[in-house]
Amino acid sequence: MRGLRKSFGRKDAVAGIDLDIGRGSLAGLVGPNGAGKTTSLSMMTGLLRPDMGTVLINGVSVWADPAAAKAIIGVVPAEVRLFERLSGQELLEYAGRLRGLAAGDARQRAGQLLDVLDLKDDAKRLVADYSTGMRKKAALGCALIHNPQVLFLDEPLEGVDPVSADVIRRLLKRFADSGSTVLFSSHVMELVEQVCDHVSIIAAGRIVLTGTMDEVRAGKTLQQAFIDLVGTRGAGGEGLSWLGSSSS
Amino acid sequence: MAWVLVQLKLRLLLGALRASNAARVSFILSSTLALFLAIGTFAGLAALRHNGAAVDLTAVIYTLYALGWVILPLVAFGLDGTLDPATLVLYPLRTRPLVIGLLAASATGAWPLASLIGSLGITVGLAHGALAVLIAVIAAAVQVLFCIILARLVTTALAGLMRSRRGRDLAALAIIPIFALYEVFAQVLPRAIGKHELTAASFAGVDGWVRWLPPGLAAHAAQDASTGHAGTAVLRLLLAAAVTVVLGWLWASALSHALVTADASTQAATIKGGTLPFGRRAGLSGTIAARVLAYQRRDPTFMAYLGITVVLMVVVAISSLRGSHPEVGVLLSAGVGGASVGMQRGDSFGLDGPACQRAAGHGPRPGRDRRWPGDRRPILRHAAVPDGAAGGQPAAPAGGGLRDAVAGRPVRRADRNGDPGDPGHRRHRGNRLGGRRDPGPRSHRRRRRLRRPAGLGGHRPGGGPSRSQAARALPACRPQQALGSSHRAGYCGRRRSASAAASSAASSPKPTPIAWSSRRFSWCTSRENTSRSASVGSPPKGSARG
Repeated sequence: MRGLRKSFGRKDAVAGIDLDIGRGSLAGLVGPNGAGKTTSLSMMTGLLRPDMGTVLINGVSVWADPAAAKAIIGVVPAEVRLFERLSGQELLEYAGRLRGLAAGDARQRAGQLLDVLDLKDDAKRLVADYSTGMRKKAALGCALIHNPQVLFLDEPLEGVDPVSADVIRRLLKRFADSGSTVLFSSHVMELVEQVCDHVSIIAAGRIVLTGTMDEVRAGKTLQQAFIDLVGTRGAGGEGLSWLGSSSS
Repeated sequence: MAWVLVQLKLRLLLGALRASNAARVSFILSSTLALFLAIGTFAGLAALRHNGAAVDLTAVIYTLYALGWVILPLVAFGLDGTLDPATLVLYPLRTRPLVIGLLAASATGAWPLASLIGSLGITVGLAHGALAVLIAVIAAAVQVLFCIILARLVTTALAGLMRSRRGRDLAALAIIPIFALYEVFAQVLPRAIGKHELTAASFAGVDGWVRWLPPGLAAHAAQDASTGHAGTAVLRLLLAAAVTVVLGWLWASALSHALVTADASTQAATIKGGTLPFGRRAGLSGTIAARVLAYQRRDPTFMAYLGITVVLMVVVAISSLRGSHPEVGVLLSAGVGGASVGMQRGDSFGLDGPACQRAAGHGPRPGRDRRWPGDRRPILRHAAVPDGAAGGQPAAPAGGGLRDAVAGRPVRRADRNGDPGDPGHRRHRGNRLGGRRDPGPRSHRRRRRLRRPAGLGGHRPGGGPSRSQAARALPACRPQQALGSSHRAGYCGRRRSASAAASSAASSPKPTPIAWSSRRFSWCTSRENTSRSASVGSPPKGSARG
């Protein structure tokens, strides 16, 4: 992507991003709250038209032909909007069919994905009754059902239990090992450090550092490298004299 | 793609039948209402045959249908998943097939079918002759298509707003015009018809402007065809279809925009905290009052109530002013308004009342702030009924709540100092069912001190055991008391459950053996309650530590 910008009113949510993600890599986009991660991912995936800039995914210009770009990508947005009154099985089936899969193929793939994502026992329940983690997993299933070339995930493990998180981590690894590309945003540094081979740090709407994991860490932990780059905020709560068990 | 979206819509409708009982009942009621509307409208339109103002009335009815199609999807925005473009943004769908597919999906269901059946009433009411019937059928189809596309255009254009908090607030306020319309139909129209002030002839010029809207064009097309003006009829139909096509184009544009636009409608949604300084200066009572005032502006439910009150006052005033004693009408209107506002403030129905009702559940400070406006708690009054039933002992403390409920007597809130179901903590002032007179706050506090078990220990300024102590003491209390407390906690928070249970434990002279308690708790449906009862095999630590 080149020169990606987006402003809301006077605020520059994304103030010019240039970023290259290699094919087959598992890339992480990390940054503090409000840094522009979600806005950037939305612009990369055709969900939010940028004020300026271009995004190319495997040669397809996202904003010249959003439908063509959406056909080759899968997206798990931060705020998942699903068809609440479908069951998990139906949701994945219709996700496949809306992406042009035949009914039989969609049903078969939906069953397999539900099995892998540990949702098989809840396949007949309405999505409206799913927990946050189950919704995330269902959304991941919807994003994978058409076997996308590139997968975008926004905070994929938020609200997901540790066992399911491990399943998703291994699934993403396997997906990337097969030659597909994964880009996900997170502010959980440990997760990014464990999973990603490429990482970009975004702050105040700009990419402040990008490279392989070793390049970005520079001998430190990713957490430390991130804090060194972005800096600490606030005074650590020194003003909260009333807070703590010693106060009445 | 269209067929997939139609199937999706049907699946979503079936999904409503598999949802909660309330959703199922709502779906069945909605479908039944659609059936009645279809039959009623068809019969009503058909009954206009040979009526001089038939075309005028038909145009008005068609226009009202269109209005209904615009308003109702906004009110029920979250119910149809296909209405929100955000559910489709992730899929590689091009606008043109998507519009066709969504149009087909919108035409699927009970309400579109009911609209079509009802609209076909003009084939009997207006059409005379084969050609006129054919034109009437096409006109009815154009009318329904216009309604659907208009509704889709409005919902798509407002989808971002409807997903936001402000949009949902506005949708809640839509109840005010709906109520006003209801009042017109239920109060004003029947009276006017009864006095022969409103007859079919009254609509004789109404369609002077309605006739140029698509619903009016459709109605007049059927009329023109019946009177031998087939050319005019076709022109009218073409004009209605052209307007519908333009609306469709606008809908497609709105859809394209919605698919690539983030919901930024809450970016400027800031609030003013004008009432909070008042709350800071006036203690807990002031805080509660400030919260009520803040909610008066920010909660659309309150605004809707006030709007309904204004509508009621206007209707009463207009009705009275037309009588022989207009001054009485004005007073009556003011009285109705005052009573309505008073009922809302008093939360007589205990549904979603002033903030003090809920804030009361979090245990106010002892002392002067304990007597504040939220003291009367109809929520607890209702809660007492299942308590008594669950306890199975009408004479048990929970049964006291039942007596209060039957007597309609307000029940003291369950704060950290007492369980309202416990007779030792109720304050009756000369009740009619034999309750003793309140001995006064002083002796009340002394009695409380005496009842505090040594095992709980630790003097607290508030006069009761700490919450952690209360929680530890829970297994040792009488089961029916603790059970009643846990039921009430479902309304007012878990912390109160422990506090109330501790008070019950405090008033219980002989703690029940733990094994028996465990058996009594074992049927609790709550997983947490069950696990708590399972853990009572060991002595309660609170008692040992005290």
